[in-house]
Amino acid sequence: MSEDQDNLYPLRKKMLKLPAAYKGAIEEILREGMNRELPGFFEDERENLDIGEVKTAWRNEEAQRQIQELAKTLGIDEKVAFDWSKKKIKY
Amino acid sequence: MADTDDQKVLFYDPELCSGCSYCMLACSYEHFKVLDYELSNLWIYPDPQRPFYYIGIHCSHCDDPICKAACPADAIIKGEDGIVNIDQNKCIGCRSCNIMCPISVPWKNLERRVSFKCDFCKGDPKCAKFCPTGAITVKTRKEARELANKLILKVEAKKK
Amino acid sequence: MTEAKKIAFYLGCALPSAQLFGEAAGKIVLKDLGVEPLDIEGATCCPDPEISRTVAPELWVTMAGRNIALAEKMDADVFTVCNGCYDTLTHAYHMLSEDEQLNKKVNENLMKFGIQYQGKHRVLHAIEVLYDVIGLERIKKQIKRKLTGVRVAIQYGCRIRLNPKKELVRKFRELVAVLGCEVVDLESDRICCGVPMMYKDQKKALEQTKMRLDDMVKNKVDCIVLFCPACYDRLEKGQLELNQQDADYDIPVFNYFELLAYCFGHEPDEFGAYLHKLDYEKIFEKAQSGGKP
Repeated sequence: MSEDQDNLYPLRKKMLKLPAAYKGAIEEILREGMNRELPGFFEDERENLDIGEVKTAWRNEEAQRQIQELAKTLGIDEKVAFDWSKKKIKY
Repeated sequence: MADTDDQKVLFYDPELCSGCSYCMLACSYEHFKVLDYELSNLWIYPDPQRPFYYIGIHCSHCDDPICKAACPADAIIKGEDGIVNIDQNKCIGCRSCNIMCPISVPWKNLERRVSFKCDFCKGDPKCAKFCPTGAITVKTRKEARELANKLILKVEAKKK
Repeated sequence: MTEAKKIAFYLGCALPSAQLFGEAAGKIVLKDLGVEPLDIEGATCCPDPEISRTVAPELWVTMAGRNIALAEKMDADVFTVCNGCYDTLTHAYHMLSEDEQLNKKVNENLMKFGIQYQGKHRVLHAIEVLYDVIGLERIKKQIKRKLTGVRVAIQYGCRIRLNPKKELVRKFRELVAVLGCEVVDLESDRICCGVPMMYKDQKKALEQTKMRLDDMVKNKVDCIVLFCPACYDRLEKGQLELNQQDADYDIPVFNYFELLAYCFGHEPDEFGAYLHKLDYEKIFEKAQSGGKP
């Protein structure tokens, strides 16, 4: 479909408008690798249960930077029109 | 007809299908960039006769497609790879193919006023790619026929 | 065994937060069995095998490769409890080992951060770790009390069926049977919990969950055991949502690790079972009374 459309309208800007259900997930991946920031309640519980701090992406700035750079290198941010200043998908 | 045993077709195994219907969403996203069960080229229905089983309806890309024979506008083409496709630029939306297909695979998109059907996603069907249980797979026609025969025998044995 | 075997525990997104008890119980159980679970520092979302794989397949395979590579850095196999993560990581593993060009491309991108995907270590499911790496015999030796008389339904989840050769379904059933409970095999064991339908039609998803739950109620199931956090979420939240619509479901859902930790003699509070939203205590009470309700 999309390729046929491209042939018909070669000058039309290629833009992908994501369905609502996909938008949140993609935004979260680009923002923090989908490891959401924990509410304080869970942090306290983690301490209670003695399983240590979470070491995944939202705690790890380096990891966060790496995913964002990967997204930029692979052109995903442009494909889904991700606004880096607002950390949101534009459309 | 040429020998079509090696043609790639979809194979649906109801013994594996969990009814999650993600294949339908993947299909509608691939073709229309939206998530909509109504805009899918294949359908998963609950089986009215067997509880917790599903029926999958998808195009078989027939050797001698009746949809092609029924099309008054010659909009349906069977390519060299055996894939039966509708040329939406030629389709007049008369629904002949919808009615003639024994399992009604072609369907009319009321918004665009033309018919659509499975186009095998240019050789990489998204329904099979995203099926989480492996219920939809890509097989050669020969393999699919053998597996389908086995399934029928299995169901008949269960009935007895 | 003289030295504890090390294995990287890929948590995914739900286990370190909303389903803490799964992580806590998993770590307790593995330590009891002489396996040291390692946290993967800087791990990201797997990413999920549906949305990101559809929208951005290149990023999907690179991020999955990165997660495996981080575990490889620690010189350990990686395992996960989530069926979705397992699907993503195994898929990426196979894609990267079979497609040389893709492997080269992914490594080029990862090398910028000093990470290299080698593919020397395996990606395992928790079922494989317990059944193949540790073995049923060692688990049996550790069991101090059993879930006698508790009727348990297993939610296998969809993606563990993808590789029929691995027989994960059979292995999971055997692992549950070891706990001494009554495993209830249902016709609806195969069907979906409803998660993929949530993207589009929440009503349809709830109907699917209801169908599964109704079959369990009909067969007088006491509790559900599973590994997949997505199924957990749907089956527990589904019951709460249905209860708001005048239904009366009360089938607690457990991560397999929790029941195992209980059988190893740990108290439910040790692994945070109090975070369950449904009445979980009745199961342990029933087990202690030898199956009498």
